[in-house]
Amino acid sequence: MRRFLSGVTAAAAVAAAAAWALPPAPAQAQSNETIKVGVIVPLTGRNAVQGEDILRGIQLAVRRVNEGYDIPLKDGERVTIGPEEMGGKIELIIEDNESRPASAVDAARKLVNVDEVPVILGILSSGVCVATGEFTNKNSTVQICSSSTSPELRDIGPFLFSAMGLDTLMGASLADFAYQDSGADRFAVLSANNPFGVGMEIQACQRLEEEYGAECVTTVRYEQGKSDYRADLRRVVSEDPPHALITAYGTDARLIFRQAYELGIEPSLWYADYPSLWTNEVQDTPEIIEGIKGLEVGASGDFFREEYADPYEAEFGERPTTSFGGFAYDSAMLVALALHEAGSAEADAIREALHTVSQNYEGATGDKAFDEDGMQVSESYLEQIMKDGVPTPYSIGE
Amino acid sequence: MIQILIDSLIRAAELALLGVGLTMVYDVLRFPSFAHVEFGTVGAFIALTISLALPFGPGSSLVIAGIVAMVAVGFLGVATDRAVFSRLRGNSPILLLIASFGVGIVLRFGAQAIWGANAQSYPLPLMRPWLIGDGRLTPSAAAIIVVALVTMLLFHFVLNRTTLGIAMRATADNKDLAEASGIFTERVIRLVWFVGAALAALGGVMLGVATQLHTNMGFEIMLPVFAAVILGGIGNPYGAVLGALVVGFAENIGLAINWGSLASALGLATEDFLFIPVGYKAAIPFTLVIIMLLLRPTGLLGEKRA
Repeated sequence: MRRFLSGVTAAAAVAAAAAWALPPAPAQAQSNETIKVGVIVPLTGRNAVQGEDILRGIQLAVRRVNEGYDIPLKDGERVTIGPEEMGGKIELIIEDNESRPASAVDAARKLVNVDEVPVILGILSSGVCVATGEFTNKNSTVQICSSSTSPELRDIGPFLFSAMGLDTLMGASLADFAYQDSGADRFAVLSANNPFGVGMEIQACQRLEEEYGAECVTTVRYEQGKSDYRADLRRVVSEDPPHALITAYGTDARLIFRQAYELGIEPSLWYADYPSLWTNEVQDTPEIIEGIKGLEVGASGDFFREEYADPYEAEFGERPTTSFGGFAYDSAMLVALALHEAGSAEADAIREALHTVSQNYEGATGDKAFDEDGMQVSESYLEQIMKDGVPTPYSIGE
Repeated sequence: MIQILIDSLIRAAELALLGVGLTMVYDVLRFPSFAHVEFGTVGAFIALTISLALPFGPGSSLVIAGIVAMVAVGFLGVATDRAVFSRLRGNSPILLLIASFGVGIVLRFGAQAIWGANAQSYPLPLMRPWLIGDGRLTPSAAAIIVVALVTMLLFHFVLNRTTLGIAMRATADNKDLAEASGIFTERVIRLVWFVGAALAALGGVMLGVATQLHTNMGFEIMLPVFAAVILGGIGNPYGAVLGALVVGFAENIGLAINWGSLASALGLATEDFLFIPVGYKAAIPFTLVIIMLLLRPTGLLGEKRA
């Protein structure tokens, strides 16, 4: 036994020495090489639907630029970006974070330390973006979160970018929508107890109070992934508010809306942000969301359709399933432009180039300009009402 | 107010079904099995797979699937005992407790490997609730309460009126003496595992009916189940039921009470309305457990053991 063990130890030592002696991998990407780009998305768990859509958005963009694509710019021109311009083809390394921040940090650690990627894309929720952003910033790796919107993102550091407008924009817009549409002066708020949900609650209530003199009578922060939200819902309606704002994710939202329905709460109570966080999840039971009004992020015009939605359908056989894939698509396109602009696959050069190229890029989801903190300057929102389970365009007072 | 009663009863039903098996295993084998709640998870998912495969309506499919799942998980309980716990008999409770942690992880992630990490639901139709006073009760929630009630009555009958139940109680009381009296205690232990795991599976199915299925569902309810069992006096099945009721009501009433006047009377706050934030719901049963352990360490119905 002892002999066997010492044999194993010796073999391990030899292997370690051999690994040590290997020449280091060249840091600079050559034109016929690949540029590794990390992707962290929830492919399982409560946000699996959104994660798949985000991944598809990135895959569509990468497939296009790897074959050479004319990327649209704001002045109406297009610039051809291909492997030649980027210094190689982009190779995606995809990690599933199971809709949990802890798994996402493990994934980020692996992408940064093992794969040594200069850029990480994907990432749905703010809880994940903040947790991984702290790590990638410390390790000087660029991270573009495609649909994380907590105001906390602004303070993480120079390597963190956000492709979607933060909740300082959404919270206020949702408050505007809810007040102007309903005219109510008392609201309840139900939000996920994470940076995203709490951010929305604070921004929306502040706006309601300061702009309209309306009041948030009850604010409930629910714990994610629980198996029962009846107590939370009872608290929401305890002060009998005419309307309530809600922000909820995926399968949690399905349970919340079902239990609300079973408690006799009318769906028209709710004004929701980002309904495509849950519209797919409730498809089996459209009654539970009938009449919910929502504020969705993104674009819907001809340009969005031709540039993104139609090619997406051709590639994946269905219309974009959520509004988030488009933002992920744009983030990948920005990276392609930045690789060209920087002439290098070094994280630091990409980071600087992103600021420049974002000013000119015509995003499928609208203006993509980053401010000095790497956050979106503006965002466009669409008003919707749920009819037969489908988000339908809506205008205030309809 | 009636809504609180209804919600508390649903919660108590789920906790009781899971708690009774846990306390039975403790009673006979003298260790708290952290794997126990995972039988609920596995049972819930087995019932899902079977009910989706059956050709009957969603309701009757689930009833049959639930019964099959109970039997299957009962055997799984016996199998885990044979594979792991029977080999460790006579060891210290700490060792068994750690082993049960391991078994729990294997069950939980085994379920995740088979059924995936996504939340799923039973294919039950959406039900309009009945209006009872100002409370609302869905037919499925009513079924949960009735099933739990009937199961507890049956269990009471088995424990007190059958040779099997008497053998179980005798084994729990004094294993050596029971053996000397001609009771084949290993067989009794196997039965305890079977019944305990099957009840947990039923609890899991009920939990799935009330909410949704997720491989973490058992793990999440573990702490309230332990709180119920400890409150009632660990090792006493009636205590577990009582504890489940106390926890179920405490969680829901604690959140509904306006503590404002109490707080201002004590000079702690001046608000008229002061409610416990809903996020602290999980803390309520533990506050009770701490108070209970300080005042009466054996639990409500527990007895001192020699």
